Amino acid sequence: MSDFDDQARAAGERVRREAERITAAMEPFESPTESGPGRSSRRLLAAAAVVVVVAGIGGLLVAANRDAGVDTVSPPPDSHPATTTISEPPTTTEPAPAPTTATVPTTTEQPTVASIRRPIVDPAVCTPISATSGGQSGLPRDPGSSLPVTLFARPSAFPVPIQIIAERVDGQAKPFALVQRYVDRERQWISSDNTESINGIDIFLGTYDSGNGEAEWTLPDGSMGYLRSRGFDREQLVSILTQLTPRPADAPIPGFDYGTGGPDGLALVAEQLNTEPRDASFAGSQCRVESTGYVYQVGATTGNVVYTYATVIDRPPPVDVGVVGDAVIVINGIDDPAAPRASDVLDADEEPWRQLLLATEPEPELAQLIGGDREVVVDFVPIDDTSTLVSSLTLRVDVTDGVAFLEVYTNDALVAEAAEYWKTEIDGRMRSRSSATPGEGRRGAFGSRLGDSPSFEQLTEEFTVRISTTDGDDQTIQTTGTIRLVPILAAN
Amino acid sequence: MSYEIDRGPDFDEFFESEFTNILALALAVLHDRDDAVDVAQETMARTFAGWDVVATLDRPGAWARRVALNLATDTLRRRTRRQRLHLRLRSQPPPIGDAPGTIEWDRTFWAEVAALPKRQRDAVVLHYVEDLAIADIAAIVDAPEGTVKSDLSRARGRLRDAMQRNDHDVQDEE
Repeated sequence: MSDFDDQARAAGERVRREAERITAAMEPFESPTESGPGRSSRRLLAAAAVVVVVAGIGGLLVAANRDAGVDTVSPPPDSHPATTTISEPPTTTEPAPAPTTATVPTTTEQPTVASIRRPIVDPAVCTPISATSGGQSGLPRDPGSSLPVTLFARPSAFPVPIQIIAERVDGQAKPFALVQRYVDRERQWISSDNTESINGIDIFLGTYDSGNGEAEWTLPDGSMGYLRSRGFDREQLVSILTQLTPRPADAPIPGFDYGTGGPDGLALVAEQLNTEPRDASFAGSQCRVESTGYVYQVGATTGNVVYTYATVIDRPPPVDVGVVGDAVIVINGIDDPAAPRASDVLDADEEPWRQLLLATEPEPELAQLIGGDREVVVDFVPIDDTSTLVSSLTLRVDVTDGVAFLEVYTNDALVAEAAEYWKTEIDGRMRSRSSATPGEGRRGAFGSRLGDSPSFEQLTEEFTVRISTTDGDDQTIQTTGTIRLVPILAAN
Repeated sequence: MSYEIDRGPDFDEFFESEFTNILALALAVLHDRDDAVDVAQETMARTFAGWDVVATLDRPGAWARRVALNLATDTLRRRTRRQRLHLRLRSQPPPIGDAPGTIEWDRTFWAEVAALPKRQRDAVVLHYVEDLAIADIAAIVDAPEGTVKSDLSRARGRLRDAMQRNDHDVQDEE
């Protein structure tokens, strides 16, 4: 054997000894209720503690080896009781081994699972500018705080089930679908075109170049199913839809059961009703890529499982999505080769983070692509009005007869009671004003002229938009904040 | 607050016998105690949660090792950019190994191991840390024995060259 081999083996042996030392030093796991510090029980407690940490903060305990082909999900301890996480059926019928019970004490010295609470992009990739928790509006909120979340809030007497069909491991970062069922028969069709018959029911089905998809259909009992997806093609969406079986209307969560014949790896992984606000934590920061000047927004969301999925759907595809520990990392901005990726995101130290929170937020901030079938969904946030929830507006650009228009769709907007007008500002100048109707935004849209343009291809200038509602005295009631939009062709 | 954990005595034994081995693998790849402990614990958490299935495998330990090596690789990838920043902000991790004269050699050696392609790195770590036979390594990395032999041979050659270069560099400085 060569000297090199001897030295390498000796190095390996030193690593082993170090591992033994570390293991022996893992006393914080030891339960004070245990009668003796037995190695076996101590180590079992260590594993248990790890599981509790993973499950407790993740809301979904995932056990899987992506390469080993084992993939199971267990429900977490009761950290988010209204979100049901779905367990796989047992994979064996063998009786369980004799139980061993371990009690894990509450301790502040539990081992930490790598996660991200103060997301910044590696400064070598993207220079940090500021930190905030405020979605895409850029409006200040208490950064990193726990947000009461009402998902897809609607003033309906009937709760709306929200179900997630996804892969069980890191599903937020992979293709998934969010399914809702409206039993109040009040929701309007988003389209009557492009339907497909599935299981004897005509289903509107749309898939788009952006990777988003949607489906809507009326069930025999008059209720309506509504699915939004990310990353699936039409064939996969059809496959998913064939696996949805409506539950009885009086079921605790009257959504759908999901069969086993859909695309590989997908399952019903979480579900809840929209009526139950659940806590989720969000923190975010902005950074600028020096080579392009583009600003990016990076967010980290933890907590309520359904909410973590909702943060990455129903909007233009993020540049990248990743899952780090229990945090879902989303990067928004212009997707080009210099754009930061989720793997570039770090957990900032406290002091630099504090400095970023204090930093003035640039305006306009996040640039987003728009045009073609690429729409932009923006938060629509109330100012000094806690009774109105954050909702959203959808922006599109269209060119008709040589004129470019910005179209604003209000289907998902909740308009405040005090609002009297819609106001649209483009590049800092008011372009349109129209009457607003308080309440849930029904199917509606209004437009503003962007300028003359023979075709979309010739619309190449960036512009900023700010959509607001105001009262009769022109005081802002709700606003999107200033949004920087980049026609797709201008970014190429 | 307490939680009742129940996975039976088999998992207890598995944990007893394998935790340190898994930790050693992670330590060899990552050369950072905190990251290695994270990987070992995450591996055990996944094993624990999937124990109903893992326990039925011929080699639960091989499964766990593969999970650990994959997690360690993920950590390495995440680290590449992070390291540049953090190494400027905090001191180097304490060296592993306490024998005089070995600290620098070990540090260089494991840094070179970390720079190997994944398959070669996995083979080297399993070979030098766990002293496993080719057949056992092949079972863990899920590759033919011939591939493992070839990976190991290439990795050894590369590491030997790197360490010799490093020796020369040190001598040149002296």
